[in-house]
Amino acid sequence: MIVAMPRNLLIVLSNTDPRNHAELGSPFFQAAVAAAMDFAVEVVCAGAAGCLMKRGVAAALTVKPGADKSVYDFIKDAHGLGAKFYACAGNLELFDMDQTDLIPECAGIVGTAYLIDRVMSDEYRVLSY
Amino acid sequence: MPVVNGCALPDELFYDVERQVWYREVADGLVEVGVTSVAVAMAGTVVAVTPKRAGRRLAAGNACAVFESGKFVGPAKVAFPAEIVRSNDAIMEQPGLAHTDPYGAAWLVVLRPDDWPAAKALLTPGHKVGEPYLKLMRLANFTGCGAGC
Repeated sequence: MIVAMPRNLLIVLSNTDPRNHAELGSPFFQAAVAAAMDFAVEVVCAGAAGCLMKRGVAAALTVKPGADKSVYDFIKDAHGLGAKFYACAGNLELFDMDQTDLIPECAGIVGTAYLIDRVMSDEYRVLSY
Repeated sequence: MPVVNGCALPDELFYDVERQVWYREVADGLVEVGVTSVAVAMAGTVVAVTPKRAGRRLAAGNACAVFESGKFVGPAKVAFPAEIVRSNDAIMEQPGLAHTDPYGAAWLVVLRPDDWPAAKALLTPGHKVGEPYLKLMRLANFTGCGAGC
């Protein structure tokens, strides 16, 4: 029996620590590549990584010292290719922010059930960081 | 052959100028696909090229391959529905071919278009591509391919 390849990729940043800048390139670059390959890509930033969806945070970070491309530039690239970004609901309180603090590329807030529903679905593959 | 700002654009090809993709008619109703020297020059040093595999169906606007440079990701999107009948493994192993031979060894896939005459009508023939490309380069503030393109 041939099983169709899932067309949806969920990338979850839950263990990524924005204080470790070198961790911040791969998830967003992979999101961009997957979107360029015509997969439907969703990126959920949870835990400490949730602050990357707050306006100004990712723009102030680079993957390595002196790099001319910010982490926000990586997010914009992936978004421009079609990836959708979400912040986890718990991040609002964790980082003292509300919807108006989100970067324009962030489509909004999702609850944990949204995340778990996709993780358990056969229609998705999941990469977690 | 039109040469626009140092970028060669061979006459015998058909172009999707906006997507920076070229098409070459080959035997049996098939067309070979690649990206222009302009697209490659804009991307910077290409470090990976990944064509989709033979047998895949593509809708208009789908990517037939993905280019990666150190900081850039870009799809090569097709202009019409088609099936991939061959995929270029060599360019996966030698992505630098995109710079050295963009209209030859750096082909990406060979397609069987659903309706090539209709597809061809969407494209710009090589002898007319100079002016549209010049306009695209101006919009992108692209200064040229430099020596060797």
